[in-house]
Amino acid sequence: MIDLEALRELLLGCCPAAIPSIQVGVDGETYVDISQDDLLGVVYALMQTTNWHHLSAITGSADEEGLQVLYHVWLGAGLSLRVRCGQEAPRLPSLVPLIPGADWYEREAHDLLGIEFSGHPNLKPLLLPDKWDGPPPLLAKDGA
Amino acid sequence: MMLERLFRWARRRSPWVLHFNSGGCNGCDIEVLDLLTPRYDIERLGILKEASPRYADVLLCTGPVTRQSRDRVLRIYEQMPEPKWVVAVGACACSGGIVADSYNVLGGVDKILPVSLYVPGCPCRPEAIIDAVTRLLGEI
Amino acid sequence: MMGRMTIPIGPQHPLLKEPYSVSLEMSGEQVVAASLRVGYVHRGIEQLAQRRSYVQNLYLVERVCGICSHVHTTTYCQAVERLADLQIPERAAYIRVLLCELERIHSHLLWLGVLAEAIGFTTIFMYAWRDREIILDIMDALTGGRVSHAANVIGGVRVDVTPPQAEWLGGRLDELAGQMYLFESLLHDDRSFQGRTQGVGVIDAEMVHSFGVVGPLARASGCRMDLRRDAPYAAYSRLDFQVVTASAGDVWSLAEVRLGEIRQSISLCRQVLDGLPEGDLAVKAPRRIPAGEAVVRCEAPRGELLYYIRSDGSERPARLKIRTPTLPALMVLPRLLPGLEAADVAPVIAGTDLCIACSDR
Repeated sequence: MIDLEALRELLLGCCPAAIPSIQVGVDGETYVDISQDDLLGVVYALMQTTNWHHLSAITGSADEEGLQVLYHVWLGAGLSLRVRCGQEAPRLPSLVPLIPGADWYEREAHDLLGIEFSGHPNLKPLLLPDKWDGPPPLLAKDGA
Repeated sequence: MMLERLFRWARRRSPWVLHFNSGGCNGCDIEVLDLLTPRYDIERLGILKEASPRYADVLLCTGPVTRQSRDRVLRIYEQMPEPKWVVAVGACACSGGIVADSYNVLGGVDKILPVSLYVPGCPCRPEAIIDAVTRLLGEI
Repeated sequence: MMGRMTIPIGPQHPLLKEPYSVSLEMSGEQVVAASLRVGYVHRGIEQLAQRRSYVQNLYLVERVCGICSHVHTTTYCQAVERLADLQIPERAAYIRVLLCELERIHSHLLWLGVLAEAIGFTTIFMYAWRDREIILDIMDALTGGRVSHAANVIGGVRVDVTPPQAEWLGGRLDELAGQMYLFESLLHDDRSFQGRTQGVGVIDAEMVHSFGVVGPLARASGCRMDLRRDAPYAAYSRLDFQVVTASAGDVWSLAEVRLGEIRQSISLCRQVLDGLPEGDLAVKAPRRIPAGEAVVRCEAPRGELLYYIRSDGSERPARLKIRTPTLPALMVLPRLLPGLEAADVAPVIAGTDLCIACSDR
C-alpha cells in the first residue's frame, strides 16, 4: 500500500500553488490530480524518495471536459497521476528526459489523441502509418 | 507436353509455402507453425516452409491487411514466381475478421490479392489448414 | 576501417515471427546501431472497444494476442468487475489461475522453441512444440479451443473442471513434468547452447528501471517483481510458489528463469486441482457498468499487463487502454543490439520474447 501521508507531504512540497487531490479508487489504485506545470517536479520527487519501480503506461483519453492523461506508476503499489489539458492543440511536457521508457507511450498518445509532448526527442508516428491524414483516432467522432 | 505434366506432378508432390502475417493476433500463426512440428508434420506431405518468396509456390496469409502491411504483401506476392496460389488462413485473412471495421484495417487478403482458398476459423485448427492445402494440391 | 552497411530485417523475414522491422547498421560483423519500426499489426483495438459492448469486448481483447489470450481476458474482466463491484466465486478464481498458469507454460515452451530455432537448434524447437501440444490438448478439452478459449465471462468463468477431468489433467501434467529434464539439460549440459546464450544480450538493472522492463526479462536481471506475489489477484494469495530470478541478465538467464517458471506453473496447476473449492462458476453481471475508472495489472507470461477502463455508466466503455509487457522490451532492444556480432542478433531478438500483436494492438 502507498503511504498516503508521506505522499501528501511530498506533493505539498512539489506543488505549492495547488493542493493536489489524492483518492484511492475501487481498484485499490491511488489517483493524484496535478497540474501539468507540476508534472516533472512530482515525477522527479517520486523517483527520488519513494519505492519507485517503473512507469507502467501513459493513458490519454478524451471526455466532456477535454483531455486527461494518466501516468500509471508502480511503486510496489499502483499510483496514477492525472493531468488535464484542453482538446485544442494539447501540449504537455515530455517525461523522456527523466524516464527513457516514457518514449513510446508518449508517441502513442500523440498518435491516438494528437497530444504534443515538448522535449520528446522523436515524436514520429508509432502505430499509425506515416501517411495518416485523418484526425487522431480516439478523437474522431464516429470511428471513421 | 511431357514437361508440362512433369512440372505439374512436381508441384503437387512438393509445394513450398511462404507464411506471412499481415496484421493478425498470432493465433493462426502459431497454428500454422504448429504444422511443422511432430504432431502435424506437413513435411511428410512434401510441403516445405520457405524463407523467401522467390522459392515459394503458395502464400499462406494470416491476419487482416493493415494499412502498413498492404504494400509489403503486394511486394511479397510480386516476388513469387508463377504459378502461385494464395491461401487465406483464419477469419481475419478471409474477411477482416473481428477487426474488420478498424480505421487501420483494409480487410481480408482478397482486398489486394487473388485468393485461391479460404480457411475460416478464429483461429484455424491445424487440421483445417492441412485439409485446405491438400485440397489445393488437388487443383494444381 | 570497416565500411558501414545497413541491413533491413523484416517485415517479412524468417527470423521474425511477426511483421515488424529492425534496421541494423553494421560495421563489418558488428552491430553499431539499431532501430525498430512497428505498427504493421495495429488494429486500433482501443478505438474498436469504444464501439462495442462490454461483453463484445471480451471477445475482442482475447484476440489482441493469440499466445496470451487468457490473461488479456482475465485482466479485462477484473477491471470490469471492480467497476461493477462484483465478487467472483472462489471456484472461478481458482480456474482462472489454472488457465493462466497453463497459458504461461505454453507460452514459455513456445518461446524456447523459437529461441532454439533462432540459434539453429531445430531439434529443441520440435521437442518443445511437441510437448507444448500437451497443454494445447488440455486447453482444448477444458474450453473447446486450443488457442482461443473464451473461458472467462464478466463475473467469473464459463468452463468447469470436473473430477475426471482433474485426474486426467494431473496425469498430463506429470507427463509434461517428466519431459522437463530435456530442456533443463539443454540449459546446464549443452555447451553449444551455453556458448550461444551466455554473456549475450545482457540487460542490466539500469535498463530495467529506465525502460520499465517487466516480466522474465526483468527477473533474469535480478529484479524480483512478480505481480502474482506483489499484488495478488484471482486466487494467487491462497497458493504457494517461488518467484524465479537469475542475475546475469543474458539470454541464458532468460532460459533459466522461464524454465524455472514452467516448473512453478506446473506446481500451481497441481495446487489448484487439489484445492479446487466447490461453488458457482460465475455471478451475474449487469449490462450497464457503473461510471468510474479502474486500473488492473496482471502477470502475463511476458510480464506486467495493464488494463485501464473508464466507464460512463453505459453499455460501452468510454475508454479502454491496454499496456502490454512487450512495449518496454521493444524500447530496450535498440540498446541491446549495438555491440553484438551479427550471429548474436538472432538469439537476442528471440530471447526477448516479443509479441508485436500485443504491442501494436
